[in-house]
Amino acid sequence: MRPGSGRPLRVVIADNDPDALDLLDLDLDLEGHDVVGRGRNGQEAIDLCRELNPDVLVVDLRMPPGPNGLVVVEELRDHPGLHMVVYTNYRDAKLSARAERLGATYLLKGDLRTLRTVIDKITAG
Amino acid sequence: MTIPAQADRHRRDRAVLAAAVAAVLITSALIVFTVLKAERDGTQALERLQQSQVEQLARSMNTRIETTFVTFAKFIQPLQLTAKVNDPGDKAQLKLFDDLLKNARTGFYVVDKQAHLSNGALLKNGITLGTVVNRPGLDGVLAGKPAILSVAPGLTTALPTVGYAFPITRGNVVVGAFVFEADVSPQADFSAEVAQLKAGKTGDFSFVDAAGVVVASSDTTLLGKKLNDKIISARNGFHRYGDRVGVVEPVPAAQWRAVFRQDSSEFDGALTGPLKSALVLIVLAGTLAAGVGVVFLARRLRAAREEQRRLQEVSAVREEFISIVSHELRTPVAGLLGFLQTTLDHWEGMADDERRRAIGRSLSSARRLHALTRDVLDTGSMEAGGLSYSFSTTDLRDEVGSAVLATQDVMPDRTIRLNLPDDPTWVSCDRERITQVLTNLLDNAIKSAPGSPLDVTVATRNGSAVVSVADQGPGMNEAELARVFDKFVRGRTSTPAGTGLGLYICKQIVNAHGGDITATSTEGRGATVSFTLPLVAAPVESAQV
Repeated sequence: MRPGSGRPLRVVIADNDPDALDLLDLDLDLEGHDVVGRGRNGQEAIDLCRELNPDVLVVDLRMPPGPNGLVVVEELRDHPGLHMVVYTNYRDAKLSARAERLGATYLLKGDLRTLRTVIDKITAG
Repeated sequence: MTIPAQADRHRRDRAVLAAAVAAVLITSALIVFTVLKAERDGTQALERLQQSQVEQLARSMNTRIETTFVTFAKFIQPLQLTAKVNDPGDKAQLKLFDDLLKNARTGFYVVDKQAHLSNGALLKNGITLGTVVNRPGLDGVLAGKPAILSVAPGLTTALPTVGYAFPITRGNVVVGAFVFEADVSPQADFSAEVAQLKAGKTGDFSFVDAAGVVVASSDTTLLGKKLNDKIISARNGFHRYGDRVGVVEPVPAAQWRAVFRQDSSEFDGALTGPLKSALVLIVLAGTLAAGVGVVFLARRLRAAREEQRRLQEVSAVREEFISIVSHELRTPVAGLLGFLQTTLDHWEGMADDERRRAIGRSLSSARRLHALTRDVLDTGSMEAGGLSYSFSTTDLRDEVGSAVLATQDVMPDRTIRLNLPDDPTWVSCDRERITQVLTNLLDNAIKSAPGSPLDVTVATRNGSAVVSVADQGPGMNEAELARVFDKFVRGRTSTPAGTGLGLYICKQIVNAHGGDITATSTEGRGATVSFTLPLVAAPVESAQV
């Protein structure tokens, strides 16, 4: 049984901070979703999405070395059925607007409930 | 924004330098032009002066000759000479000149219309009356025109002579000529005067007759000789020819010419030598001063540009630091809040060990947050005047062992090999601060070398304790190594996190203990950071045990 209202989703998460990955993994799992892939950098995120075709990608912004979260979103913007969330510590209106233009949601880390709400909306859609 | 501004400044700097160089060149050119003009004007003035001197000399000589002519004419005109050979009447009249000839070196003679020697005074031995006198120019006098005869052997002296010659007339008919000889020798009156006109070492003044023979000269060796110099054939005035200068001016009364000659180097040297020396000095001094000025200006510009670049760099680093710190602080905050929130929101759905692990991760994030804030606050304290330390004698093995254990506790899956000496390693230190150093070095190694085992070693060398933390990660290149202990520098470019303050703080703390900290690395083959602390004697209670 999962606390969320929608159907379970297949999720890929990507962050260079292991703590952040573990937290997302734990919370999304407890929310009833299936975390099918964990990437440590941007390239791994792209590769996992292309390989696993998840419903949602939750990706950090800054993951040196390699492509950052926005580059990952740009690469995967035409990937069928994929919803993307840039989940970051950088509060930046320009970056946020760019992510929105690319069809992704830009969220600040620190409030898991907002992330859950965004994913629930995807589920509902 | 920075790059166009720098380009503008560089363009401005180059323009200032170019203007300085142009000003120096223009000034130098003006100096050279002025000095050369002064030299040219001076030389022309000198030439005019020299010509004027020779002109005056020639004019003076001309006047003297004319006066001499007039004087002789006054004596001769009243005489009623027949000019016949050995005429007693003539002889009686010519006795008038006896007084004039006292102490004289030369005499006079009379010739008839056919140039037969008819009379004379102070004639040389062997000269007989009635012989024909072949003196150049005499025929002109016999034609009725007074003249100064060119230099030729005399009849009244063994020396070369010039002759003042006047026609003798009866009625309007020329019946003969009267010739007064003057020797051409250093003892002659005007020769003695001209001899005083010496000019420098190479200059001479001379009078030459119509045939080019020297009748008077400041160089007495030339007297009576043909002047073998092409200046003789030059028109009147100042001339430069070869390496000589010369002035020629006419003495019309005698058909003579006054000639001045000198080496041009000596003639010009009197004026242009000092000018040239001054020019060389001015140009040298100007060039030196300009060079020094340009170098000084260039250095100032370079220093200013360097300072500007440094300030921009500092500013950029500070901006990046603020960005990094704010990001780095948010990361553990997000972890701390996230794990707590997840645990609270899913309390019922989580097993006990899951809750414990989540709370543990929250604690880990809180520690990370604590360490970061401490780094930032310590840096602020260091900049405000330094941290305070509380020193005590400590066995360094205990501190290193504790720090490794604490790290191992948080990162149980990492291999940390600890190498400690058997004997105590006594140092005087602030235990809390040394633990901070060790924790920083271990954290750095763990973050920089994911998955790599770490080797932590304590040893003693040359009176110091040496602690080293070595990893087998990607290491650092030379540029990274050179700046690894600088503030705000995140030493290894691949490191995902960090404020760039850790190693800076470590260095400040180790230095405050009288130790040193160094980093060595071979790129791709790991890095080792070592620090030293001075060894001290064992504490009394420990020594007693």
